[in-house]
Amino acid sequence: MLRIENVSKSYGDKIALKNVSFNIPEASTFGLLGPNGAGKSTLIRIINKILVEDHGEIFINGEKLSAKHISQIGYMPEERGLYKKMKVGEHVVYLARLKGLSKADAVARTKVWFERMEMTDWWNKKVESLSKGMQQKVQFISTVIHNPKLIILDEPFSGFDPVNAEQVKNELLRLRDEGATIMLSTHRMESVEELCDNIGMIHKSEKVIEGKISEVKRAYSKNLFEIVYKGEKLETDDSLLKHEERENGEWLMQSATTDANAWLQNTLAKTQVVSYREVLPTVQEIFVEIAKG
Amino acid sequence: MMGKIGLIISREYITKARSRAFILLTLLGPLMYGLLIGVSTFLASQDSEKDLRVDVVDETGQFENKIQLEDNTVFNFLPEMTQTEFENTLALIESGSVGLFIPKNALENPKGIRMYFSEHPGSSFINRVEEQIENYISEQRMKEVEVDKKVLNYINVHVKIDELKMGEDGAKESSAAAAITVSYLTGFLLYFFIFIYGSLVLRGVQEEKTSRIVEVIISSARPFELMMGKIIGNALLGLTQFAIWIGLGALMIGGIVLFGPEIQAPGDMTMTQGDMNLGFAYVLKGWDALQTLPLAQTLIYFILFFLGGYFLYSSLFAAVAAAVDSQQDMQQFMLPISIPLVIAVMVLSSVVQDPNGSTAVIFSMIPFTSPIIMMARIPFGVEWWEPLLSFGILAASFVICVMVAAKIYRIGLLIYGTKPTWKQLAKWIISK
Repeated sequence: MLRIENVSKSYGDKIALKNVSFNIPEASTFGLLGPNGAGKSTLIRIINKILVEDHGEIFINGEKLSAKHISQIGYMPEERGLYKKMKVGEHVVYLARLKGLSKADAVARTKVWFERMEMTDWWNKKVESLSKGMQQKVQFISTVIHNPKLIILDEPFSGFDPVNAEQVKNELLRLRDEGATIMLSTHRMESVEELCDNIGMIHKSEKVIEGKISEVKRAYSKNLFEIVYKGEKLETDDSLLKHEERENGEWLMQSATTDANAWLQNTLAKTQVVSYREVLPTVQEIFVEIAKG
Repeated sequence: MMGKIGLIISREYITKARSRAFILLTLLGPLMYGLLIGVSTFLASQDSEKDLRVDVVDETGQFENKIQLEDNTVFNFLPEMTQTEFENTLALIESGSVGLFIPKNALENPKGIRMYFSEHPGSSFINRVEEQIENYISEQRMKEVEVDKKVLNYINVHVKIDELKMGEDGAKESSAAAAITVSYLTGFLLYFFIFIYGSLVLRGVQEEKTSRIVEVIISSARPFELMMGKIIGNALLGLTQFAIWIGLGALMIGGIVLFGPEIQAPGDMTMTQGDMNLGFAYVLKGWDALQTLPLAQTLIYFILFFLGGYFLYSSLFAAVAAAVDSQQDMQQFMLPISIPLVIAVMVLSSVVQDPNGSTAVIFSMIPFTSPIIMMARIPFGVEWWEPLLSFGILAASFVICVMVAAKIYRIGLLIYGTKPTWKQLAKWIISK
């Protein structure tokens, strides 16, 4: 749905993006990762036509990105604000109309969203009277009100309390299931694991990872296996990475063995195995590993 | 469907026009101005009616009962004493009284006349006392050289030239005083309005930048649309305010003309430069004189030059607000931009004195000063092509300015925390 091809951008001598390409399938959630200053925000701004790339091309559904696609994109920047003196309802309607909705349409959809997000009595409140979390909800609605095909969120969960964050996550998943493509830039790896189908990572202005989360994990797998057993502690050698007691008299062993099968059979012969699994790295671990170089 | 720029204009206009500050300023502005004039006139009249006591030591012994002022000032002639003794008695001088010392040979050589006070009685008071003393001395001298007062009056000639402006329909009475008043009024009003509405744009841009709404907006509309929408929205706000004020003013003048016969127009008042209060009084007195001026032309050009000057300056203000985010840095960039406007006000008085002189003509063509200076010239009557040329130059300049400002605006909006140098600004302007 969104294809980014060899996009480069520099500010004076400083290179922000170097030949970055991504391919994001339709109706999926894509997590854009990278340390601060890696170039994520630059890429996001280029997709939103706020910045102009020096080289490269971007396609939406096969068409070259142009001004007409703006109404198909919903963007929530990392640094986001609202007009403090406006009324909440009017504010959302205004932003919706800027995205090309008619007045009647904008009002109707705002009402629907206010109901869905349990904020019908906010319509006539001034923005400045809302708490930060409430303002975030208003910003989220403003981002998706025009039913964009592509939703781009930069650090969407900062400032949300857990209840609202959950509500927004569920809405995002629902929108994805209805066909929207979602691009998410965040430092919260647990929400990446929870929400994203695919991830991509930029490090020092270049792409370092792209793919399905499961594939990326597989690629960064350390051949780490884990067995949990019940009973007396086993006598083991020093090759184990972990061997510790858990609740209910259970023990957990981790090993970076090359022959996991043999290790399992060997253990089965000695004790009662409760579980056995391959330990894949978390996105967090992969991120840290790459970022540290 | 209304375009994006239309949406931005209407948001800008509606949210501001609804704000309490705007409504209060629009309705109370003229009232407050009237109140200011009323209070200052009242205070001025209070001042002159204060009962002053003047203790006089007159070594000539001739001035008693000869010095009189029109108000309630009492001249209290003291018995003869030396200047030092007088000064000693005055050491404990109370407020509301002054001491006047006239030395022995004042009639021959009127020097060394002194006035003592703890609170300055005002220069006009001193002038009037001086005048009284002068009159008495010259009367005495006339007697001395045996000149009749009639002769003197005959010799002292006063000439007042009737001013007539030649137009297509013959000679028309013209009033320099009315022209000067209108000229100052429009010049100053333009100065204030350009600043007031320019800073509305400035603060609007600043608000969008600091509240971080701006990135959402420019992901939906082009920065140029946002900037122009803001500028046009505030211009409409300004025009609304003018319209209301002109309406209120017409009502007021109409009311005065119809129901206010007891309002006394000032008598033989001499116009002092920049004296807005007197000017206002003149407007009342000289309604007829005012009608000799090209009023319709003045009003139309007032609006045109307001728009031209406002567009020019507010686009620059918008660029500055977008480029910097701290107040101090903003001052640094605002100063050089506002200087031409301040210069225009500074040369205003010489322009009013010689509205067709070379200073006036040159400054009325330079786009950064022309709104104020051309406006100051129009009430005196200018060649028809002059304001048109001036406005043409202004319009071309604001188009260039808006284009330059838009470049700075577009890039500056997303840059936080650093203050750009002039060199960087130049780079932004030439960037694609």
